[in-house]
Amino acid sequence: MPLILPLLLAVVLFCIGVYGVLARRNVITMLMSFELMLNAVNLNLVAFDAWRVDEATGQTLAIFVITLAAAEIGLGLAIVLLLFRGHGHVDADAARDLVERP
Amino acid sequence: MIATVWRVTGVAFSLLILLFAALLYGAAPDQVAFLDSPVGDLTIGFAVRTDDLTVLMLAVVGVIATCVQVYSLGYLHQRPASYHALVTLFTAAMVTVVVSDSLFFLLIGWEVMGACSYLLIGHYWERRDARSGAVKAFLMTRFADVGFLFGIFVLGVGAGTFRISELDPARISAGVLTTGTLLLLVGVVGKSAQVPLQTWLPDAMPGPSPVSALIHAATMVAAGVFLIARLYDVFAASETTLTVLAIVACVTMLVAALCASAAVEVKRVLAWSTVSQLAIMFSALSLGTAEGRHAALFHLVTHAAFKGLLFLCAGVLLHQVGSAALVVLRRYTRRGKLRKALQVTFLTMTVGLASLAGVPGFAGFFSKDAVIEAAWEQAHDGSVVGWVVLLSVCLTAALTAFYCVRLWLWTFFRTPALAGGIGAFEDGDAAADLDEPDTSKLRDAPWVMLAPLVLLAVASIVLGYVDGVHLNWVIGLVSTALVLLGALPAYSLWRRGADPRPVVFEREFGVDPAYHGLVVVPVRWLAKLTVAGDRDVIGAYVRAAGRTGTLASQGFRRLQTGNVHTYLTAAVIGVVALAVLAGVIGS
Repeated sequence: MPLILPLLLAVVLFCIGVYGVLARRNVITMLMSFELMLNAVNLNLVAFDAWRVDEATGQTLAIFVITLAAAEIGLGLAIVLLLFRGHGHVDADAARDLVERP
Repeated sequence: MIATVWRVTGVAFSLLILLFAALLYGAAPDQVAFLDSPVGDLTIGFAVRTDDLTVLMLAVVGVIATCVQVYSLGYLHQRPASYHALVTLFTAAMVTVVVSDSLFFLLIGWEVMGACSYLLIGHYWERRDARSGAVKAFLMTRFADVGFLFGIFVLGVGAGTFRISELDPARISAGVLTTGTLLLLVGVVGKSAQVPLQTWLPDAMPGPSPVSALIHAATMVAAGVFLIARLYDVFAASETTLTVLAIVACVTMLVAALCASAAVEVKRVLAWSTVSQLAIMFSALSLGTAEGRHAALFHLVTHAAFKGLLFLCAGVLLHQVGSAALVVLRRYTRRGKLRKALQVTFLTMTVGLASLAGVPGFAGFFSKDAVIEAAWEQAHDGSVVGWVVLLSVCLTAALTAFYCVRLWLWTFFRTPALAGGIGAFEDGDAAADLDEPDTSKLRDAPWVMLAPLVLLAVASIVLGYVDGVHLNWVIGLVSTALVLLGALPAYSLWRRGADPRPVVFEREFGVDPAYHGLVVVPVRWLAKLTVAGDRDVIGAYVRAAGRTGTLASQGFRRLQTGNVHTYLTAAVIGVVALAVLAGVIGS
């Protein structure tokens, strides 16, 4: 399989992820978009590893990233839960408690 | 509890020194070096020695320190622990100076003495004059000690050794010898309060009286004399240094005696007389002969006894009356009360003053005559220095008698001319002299204070005879005549109730104002300049940096919107921009 196909797929996934993070106000959607971006990177790693045909460096790193993503989503969901308990919503634009007031 | 421990330690240590002096008496001269460390071609280390001079000084230090420690048991009620500890440390430092055979070891003792002197002058640190006197003494002696340190370097490097017993003037070139001894002389002049560094000693008098007796009369200020006597071969080999020493000593003895004759406080009179008597010792040393050295050391020993005694007597006055100012004492004197109430003090102080004035039969008489005799022998051989020393010592002897008699009469006796006596020590308020103080509770000091006085009074008579009486009758008669010449004007002035104090003597020749103008004011200006430079030049840059940061933060804080999307958008734009930039640069 030519290398360009998985790379293109990864670019598409990544762009969708960026769009999701920047355009969506729902925090859970934003977290899902983060996952998309991470998996785009994973796809890149695996594709390059297959292309180079040497050690399993890329694959190892991909598993590492998956682990990290699991931890990250756990933490993120906990924050979202707290946000919901405190504010009654999960709207990123409305949660502006950290604004610098002059 | 701690105070008691230190009291016992102090007395025991002083007695230990006496024991050492007794054990070392008659022992053959010996030196021991230890902890030597080579530095380049030279060896720096510690070394101790014992010889006649060491034993003599150990005995003097031991006796005076014992007297002072015992006396202090009754005298001092404020902060006794630190006081006794410091006096003991001081005694140890003096012993270090006396026994050391290495110039650096000697310097250690020399500097510790200076530090103890500073701390003890400032013992009553609540008093402003005590604080400023302590700082003054510290600064002036420290200034002189710089010269001392460099003198050690010059002599030690020139001779190739820092051991005193190995310093051979024949092996040092003449220029190095003169430079080294002159530099050492600077330190000696500072420590012994000679002209031009004489002003710290009278200002050191707010310290406790026993401290004045031990440090500022009997031992520390005499360390300068000891040092020159120790390095006498080296000093005697340099003609220039001896001439400078003679000039300094002659000027000092006259200046100090004149200042003493116009001082109106017992301790200040005694302080100036100490300066004057030390100058007599230096003048004897400046003759460069063995007789001169002998006379100087003889005078050192007798002076230690009678000047220690006088300061302890002044301490009794301070302790029992509350003041040693003549104006205060005179109120008690007007009915002869002081003399009757403080009988032992009166008698011992009379002995001390007689010895200081050089009344025949007392120790001071014999030692001063020894100096005059040594000077006369030099003058007889046609030496100019000998003549100058002879004349100044004779003149000083008369002046000494004058101020001793003045002090004695005005302190203890009622002047017959009562009307004239009023206001002799006060400028405006004549009535202040008339009010009667309550004298019913005035009594002599406890025996723990009087016993040292009696001991020292006996010493200031007996010490004159221990050297073996070899009196030159002509010189004895001349010096007796000089004493009378000084005593009679003092007596006649006192009879008339007058105490003329020329302004120039009372202001102590204006040395302090001159130093204030020459040193203190420029230093203050320099300090102000430094402060201005720090505050207005360096500080300006520091403040500008801070202000820039504040201003910048005023702008940057607006970016903190609290909106996560704004931050993320900025981050993504930044990453894309960086990637594009990397691509542009990389291609």
